[in-house]
Amino acid sequence: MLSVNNLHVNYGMAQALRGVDLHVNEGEIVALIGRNGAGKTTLLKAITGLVKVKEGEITYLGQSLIGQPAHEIMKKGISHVPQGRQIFGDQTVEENLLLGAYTQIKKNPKQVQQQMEREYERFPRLKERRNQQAGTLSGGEQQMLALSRALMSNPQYLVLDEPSMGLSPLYVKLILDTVSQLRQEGKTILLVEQIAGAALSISDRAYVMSSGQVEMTGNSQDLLHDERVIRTYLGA
Amino acid sequence: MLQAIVSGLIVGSIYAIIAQGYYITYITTRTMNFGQGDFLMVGSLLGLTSLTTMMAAGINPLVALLITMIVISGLTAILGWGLERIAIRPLNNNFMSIAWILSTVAVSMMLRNIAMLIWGRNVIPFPSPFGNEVLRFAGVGITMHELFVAVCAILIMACLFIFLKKSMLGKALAAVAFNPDAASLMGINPRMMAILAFALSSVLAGIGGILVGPITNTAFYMGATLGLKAFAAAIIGGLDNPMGILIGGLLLGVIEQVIALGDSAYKDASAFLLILLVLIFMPQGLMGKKVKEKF
Ligand SMILES: Nc1ncnc2c1ncn2[C@@H]1O[C@H](COP(=O)(O)OP(=O)(O)O)[C@@H](O)[C@H]1O
Ligand SMILES: [Mg+2]
Repeated sequence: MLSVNNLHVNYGMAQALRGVDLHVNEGEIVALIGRNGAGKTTLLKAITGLVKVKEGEITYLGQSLIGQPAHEIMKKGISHVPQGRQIFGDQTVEENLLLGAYTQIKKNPKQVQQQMEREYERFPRLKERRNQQAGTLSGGEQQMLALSRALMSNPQYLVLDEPSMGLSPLYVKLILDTVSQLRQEGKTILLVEQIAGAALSISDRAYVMSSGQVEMTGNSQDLLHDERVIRTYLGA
Repeated sequence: MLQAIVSGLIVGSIYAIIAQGYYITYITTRTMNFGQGDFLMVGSLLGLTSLTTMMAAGINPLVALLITMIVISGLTAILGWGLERIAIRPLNNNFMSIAWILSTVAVSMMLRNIAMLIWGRNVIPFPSPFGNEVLRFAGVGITMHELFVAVCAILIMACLFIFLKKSMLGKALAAVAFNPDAASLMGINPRMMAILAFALSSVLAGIGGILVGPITNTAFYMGATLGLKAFAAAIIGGLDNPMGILIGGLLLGVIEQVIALGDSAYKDASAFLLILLVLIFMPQGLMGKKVKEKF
């Protein structure tokens, strides 16, 4: 349902993406792994309209996303949980969630309220802290909030950028379990992860990126046992 | 003395209204309309023309005033939208660049010249629709118009604070101010928010113009000092703190009037002395936030 063909993105003179091909089918979890600076974040930003594409094509449900601004792409049902969470730190937890439903709150206030209840059920901790300034939450709580905020618009498609970054093992497990759970709820997911082992074990397929290109791709189980992947990314 | 404080609070509340315009565009776009004072002048002169025309046609002064305020709000909103389109957006701004300062000043110069062509070079008296009656409370004289300014100021500030803190649009403005990329991932269009901010800022200037007219009278050059004083109020209060700006405006108004008791020649100088003192000792403004890390 999402396909990226021969994608090139530059930052000034620097080439961040050099001809990336990737596709994600409905209902899949696809993992994207690779070293720091490989271009993973840039690829996600290109998909959701946060960086300008120099060359190539991105299509979603048969429509081109090239040249569309982020706030329009989001309305097509693609939600992006950015790297570093990027919650609105000077607003409360509940205000952050409401902003996640910004495009729907006027049309369907009831539905938004229900979605908020669902998110509070998913992460009871958020409910306890609903009136707290989001900037004062712990890293794990902020990641829950970033995830829930992205889900408030009830998207079909989720793009997650290193949701486990900087979290304690307990929170890493909670977040990754939630990602698997979301697939059960019918979401299609593109997951960028530093913890390659965990990403490969919860995903169907994976892409390995390096220097702005796709270096390897295949079935996650196969990659998990691939010599080169083990040596470079699973760090023996 | 008490008289000076009361008059100071009245004038100060107008400074505060105009200065909130700087705040709104600053937090959303990190830019400001340096022609805010001239937008006020346009509001004032247009308001005067509209008011006198309607009153000459025999319309009740209060009705005429109400209609004028609505019309001026609409016109200045359009002016603000236009300013964002021609003087802010094309420049791809950040606060460090000075292009937006030059472009907004250029627009203000144009407005000033156009106003001079239309309304002439002379000071035009702005008769208050409430007449010249002075009410006395405990020895302090206050005109009906000043009372009206006080009521308007309270209403405007209350509406503004409720809008910024409680409405969804206000939350969206704050989100864009905090992190425009993250806001756009929520489906918020940062450009629409910039237009909204400039429109709102201009409306505040326009309404400020109608309120201040009967106090200072009107002329094509009236915007320069008033815009600067409102800017002073914003700097004193802290550009990112609407409550601080309100206090800054009131403080400035009172200090000015109290100093004018001694020698009115020092009235304007006192405003700028106050800014200097605040900038030297409290560069964040009286109530501005300390610079803080986002993550
Ligand atoms: N805003 C930017 N300006 C200039 N270069 C950037 C910017 N963001 C990323 N880069 C560069 O683009 C490359 C890819 O970065 P990124 O997509 O963040 O990689 P990853 O997410 O895989 O760590 C890196 O070399 C990085 O230095
Ligand atoms: Mg990254």
